[in-house]
Amino acid sequence: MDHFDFGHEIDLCQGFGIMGDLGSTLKDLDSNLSGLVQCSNSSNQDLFKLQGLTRIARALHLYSQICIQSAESREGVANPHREALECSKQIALLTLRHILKILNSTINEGFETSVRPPLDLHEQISALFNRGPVKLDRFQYLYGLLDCASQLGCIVGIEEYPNGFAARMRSIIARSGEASFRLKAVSNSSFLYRDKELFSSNFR
Amino acid sequence: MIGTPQTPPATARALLAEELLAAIKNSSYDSQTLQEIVLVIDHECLCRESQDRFPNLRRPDDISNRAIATSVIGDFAEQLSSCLVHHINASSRLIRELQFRALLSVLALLQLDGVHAVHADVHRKWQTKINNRFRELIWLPGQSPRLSTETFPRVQCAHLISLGAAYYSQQFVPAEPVAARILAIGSNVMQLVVMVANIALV
Repeated sequence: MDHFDFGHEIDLCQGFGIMGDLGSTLKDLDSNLSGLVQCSNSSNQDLFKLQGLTRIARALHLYSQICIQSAESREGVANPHREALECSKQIALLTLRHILKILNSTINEGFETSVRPPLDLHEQISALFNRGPVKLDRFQYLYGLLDCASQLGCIVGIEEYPNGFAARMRSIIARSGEASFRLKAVSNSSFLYRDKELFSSNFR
Repeated sequence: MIGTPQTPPATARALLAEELLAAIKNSSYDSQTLQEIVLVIDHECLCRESQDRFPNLRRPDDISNRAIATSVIGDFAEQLSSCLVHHINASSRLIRELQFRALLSVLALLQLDGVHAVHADVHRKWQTKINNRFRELIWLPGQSPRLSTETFPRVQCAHLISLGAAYYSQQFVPAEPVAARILAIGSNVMQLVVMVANIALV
């Protein structure tokens, strides 16, 4: 598998501040993720890549947080790691924006009312004959997007969430006939409502 | 604590990975063990990504070296695709979810290590194991069609194992010629026909 081969290379190393060009990194990532908005059905490869990007962002975030704490406790210089931390946050934010774009795209409009998981009977038959999980379909793709968003939510601050993200999650919670979508949207929303003031202002 | 403050980061990570692998093999693990596996493997993925792109670039020592050998990663895949939940209780749903997440991370790390094919017998064994994990999940007792506390963990685990199975089948091919695969399928079909004929005769 190419490393996040969306068409251009994504230079995560620049985010370490070694080459000092976080802006260029984000610009590359933005243009590559834009291609995902057009995907019309369950694009497995795109979901794998988003999962991979989420994995890297979380690992970079954790690594830089620990390094900053370690440097501060030793009265060392934490600047390179602060740049890496900022990089992880920006990558997470950019990915969240694109996930929101995909969820809001024409092809996925109202998915929460129309998309259903595989039938229980289908899964039972597949399990009985030991055929393994049913193939990834649109439900798994969309659920996977929400799963990536909930993982990235651990990195991004409440005030930095993309505009419209909370509203989209509320829409999914209110309209979805599928419990798993609702529950996933609730887990995404819990990051937004950690702040009581934000919670109360959204429910006035 | 793994190693000493003077232990090079890569060595410390390798020691930690071996300790975690041993914990799984010896069945002395809990949800924290699996969480640590996810963190260690994800960090290795980060190291691979940064190293492969810019091998000569100056980077912090913690991410400049690969720590875990491909054979050890393969061992992780072997263990994490095995049955880790022998007794079903409230905590087993978390262990199952973490197991599937860790398996996904391990498969991604194998890919980053350039592994694109697996020995045919190993490929079949891993595929069978993944299928068995799915079957165990589907056959969990006490599942209700109505919304319950089990709904979300079950859907989450089903998603992760489906993703893992799809990733495995699409990214890793068995190291055998197409003719051998066709022969194996033909043999399975013949066995099925014979079985059905026997049942019909009885």
